[in-house]
Amino acid sequence: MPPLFVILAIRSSDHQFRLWIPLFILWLLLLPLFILLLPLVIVAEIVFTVIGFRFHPLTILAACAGLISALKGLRVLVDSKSGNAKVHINII
Amino acid sequence: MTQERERILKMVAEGKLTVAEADELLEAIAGKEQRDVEPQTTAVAAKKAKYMYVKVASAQKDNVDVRIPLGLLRAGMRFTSLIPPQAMEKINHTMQEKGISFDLNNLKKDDIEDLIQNLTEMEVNVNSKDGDNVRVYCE
Repeated sequence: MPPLFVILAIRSSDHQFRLWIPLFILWLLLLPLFILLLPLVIVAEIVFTVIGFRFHPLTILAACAGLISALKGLRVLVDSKSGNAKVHINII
Repeated sequence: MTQERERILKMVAEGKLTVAEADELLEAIAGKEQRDVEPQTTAVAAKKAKYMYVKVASAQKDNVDVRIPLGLLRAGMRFTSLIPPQAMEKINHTMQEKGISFDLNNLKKDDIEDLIQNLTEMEVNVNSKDGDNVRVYCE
């Protein structure tokens, strides 16, 4: 399951904002493109395997998808009381 | 050796059981023992760590708190299989030059899994005289 939202909260001495970035919209937009490109990727994978070229687009695609899915749960909180600044990044 | 196994072997010695029958019985006992061990293994698996935490707290009240999903480490390690052989050789050669005798080609999926699971037992705690604290652990 890929991450659905990125919550970004930034505060400085004079600015403050909180942003919810809906990643699921991005995945929905990319899905048709992915479905269209998948046959090409599979063909490329077969061709490269047959000619012995050590480049596997399908493996790369799977590894990238795994990496994106694994980002879910990543949280970075930086609070600077001395500099009166805050950066919170939360991927859910 | 359990009492049951001992009894079976004694019966074979006395001629009350054939070797084939004893073999069947011993296999049944082994299966039972395996089933008894499985719930414990599941309980350990349930305690599997999901995240690595890196927490930095300075004396000036500046804090950094990072939570990294361990799945990200797994996914990242999967990329090692995509490293071209020439680059892999170069990496191994450089590591050996630096005195690290480690061959990335020998890194198996199970090894990575073991490595990540054993991270649960790792904890790094650094305290400085100034009151700064760094803590790395998995939970």
